[in-house]
Amino acid sequence: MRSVNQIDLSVEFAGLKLQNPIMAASGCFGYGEEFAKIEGFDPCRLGAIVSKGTTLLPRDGNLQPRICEHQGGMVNSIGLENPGIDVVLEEKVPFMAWFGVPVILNISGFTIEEFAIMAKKANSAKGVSALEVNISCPNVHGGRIPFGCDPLIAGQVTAAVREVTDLPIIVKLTPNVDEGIIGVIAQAVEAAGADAISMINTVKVENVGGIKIGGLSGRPIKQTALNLIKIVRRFVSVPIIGMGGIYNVPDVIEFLKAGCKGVAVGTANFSNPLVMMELKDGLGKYCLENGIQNLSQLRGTEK
Amino acid sequence: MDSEKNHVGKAEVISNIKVAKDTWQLTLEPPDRFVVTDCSPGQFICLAPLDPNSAMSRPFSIASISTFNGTLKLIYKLVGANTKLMGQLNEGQQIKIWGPLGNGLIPEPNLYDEIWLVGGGMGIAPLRFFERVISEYQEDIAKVFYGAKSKDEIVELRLHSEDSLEIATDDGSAGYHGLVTHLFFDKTAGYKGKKILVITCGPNRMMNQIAALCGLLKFDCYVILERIMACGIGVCLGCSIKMKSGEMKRICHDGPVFKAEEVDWNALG
Repeated sequence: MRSVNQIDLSVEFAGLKLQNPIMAASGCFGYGEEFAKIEGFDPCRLGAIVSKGTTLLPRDGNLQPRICEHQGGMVNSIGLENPGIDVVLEEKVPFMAWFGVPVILNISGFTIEEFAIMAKKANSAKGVSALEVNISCPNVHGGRIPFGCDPLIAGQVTAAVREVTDLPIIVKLTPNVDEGIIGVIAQAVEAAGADAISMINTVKVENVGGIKIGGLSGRPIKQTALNLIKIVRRFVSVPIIGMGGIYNVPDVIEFLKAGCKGVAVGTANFSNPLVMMELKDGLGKYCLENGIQNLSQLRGTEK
Repeated sequence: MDSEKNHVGKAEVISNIKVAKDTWQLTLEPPDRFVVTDCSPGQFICLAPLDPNSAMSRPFSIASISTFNGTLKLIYKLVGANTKLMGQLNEGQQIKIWGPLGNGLIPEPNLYDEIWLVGGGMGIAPLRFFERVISEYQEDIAKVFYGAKSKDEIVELRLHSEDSLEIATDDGSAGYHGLVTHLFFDKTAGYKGKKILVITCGPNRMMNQIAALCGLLKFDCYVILERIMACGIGVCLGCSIKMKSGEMKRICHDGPVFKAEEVDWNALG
């Protein structure tokens, strides 16, 4: 009889080897410092850690109010508060790297050049395993329309990052586009050199709880995420990392069946700081009970 | 007073009683390694939301601890779906909590002639913990100013010394008729030049005014800030505010107790 700990949950994508597919979603895990202080939370047991969205320069973020509950999920308008890439690479990444799991640095630029500068800095820094390129930021040279809303610009950002780094590139797609275009955007970033795609970022909402423009996350966006993932899967062959309202093991299974190689957990961390530990254990138990030897048996089984 | 680890686990409901209009007191026995004596006044705990439709944790100030029983008390008002469900909790039920969170404050009674605790509404909860701790160091040094809308909203605080309590109600149904801010203003007469520490918790407007007067009278003043929090542990940045220094601080992680002069009240929205 095998035990849960003997189940092989490992996955490989974009040249990264993860011991399991459970990743911390950007912005819901800081740089790991706070979760490392939670008793029973062991970052070493995660599949990968994704940093808080990092910008070229330090940012204070938005004024209050920044968060509110909405439709069973949560709206945020943090505004990318972060200490800037130099501090992140010098002080935060070494801490994250200490856990021995891949460290994925989320970079958020406001111009294509900013993305390239950050990618270059990360390329020569120690401890970064891969980049997650957040193309949901407003493009200041493009009428503040997010990079990720236009296939050509999304491709340009990806290409600019590709040119300056050998690190695996994961491009994070925004769901705030027409269903008819998201596949083309995915295809464009793949062609420009993305090694993987993560999706979805938060869903844009307006005028909720005193927040003018915010991003909805959690339960209410799960179905949107799954629908868009199934579309994108038809357009690209690079691996997909799924996120959006993952709370329990059946949610994880659903994303894996939809074709994801990895899954990231965001909002669920807030109402249960041990949720990622529970999901890792629960996924092992599920595989044991269902005779699953390898997660590839699940992947993409749902059309 | 940053404890090394934040403990997560099931807390057992020891009692849950109504203590004033729409106001309840929950006594919890926290999970095994969560030792109540590690908690300092000003710190809080988070409850996993009881309403399955909620996405954020629920932070509550620790209103007192019992070293003898190993329990802690929360005082809460029924305002939404979660607090209504909290009101239905019965003895023996278990709820998920984590903490102790944030930085508390152990005032140094030797430095002060008196320590004044000024609470408005539910802001009284953490101040009760302060009163107990201060009174253990030195009797008769703590004074409590407690404001509420009306007599029926006043929670019996069971202070070390009830003589130290001054009540204000908006409608005059108990104690001073008016805002606790004004009661506080009145009581400061004759205290200029004395070494007074003021710790205040309540609506932002109230704390702002008290802090301003403390600044004029050269009283040391700490404020206990509150803001909606998603995580309570410092990762979501939902409660980040810019301080007067320009530095960003997370109320949950870097506070909730702050020196009043550091706070930019406009940043609290």
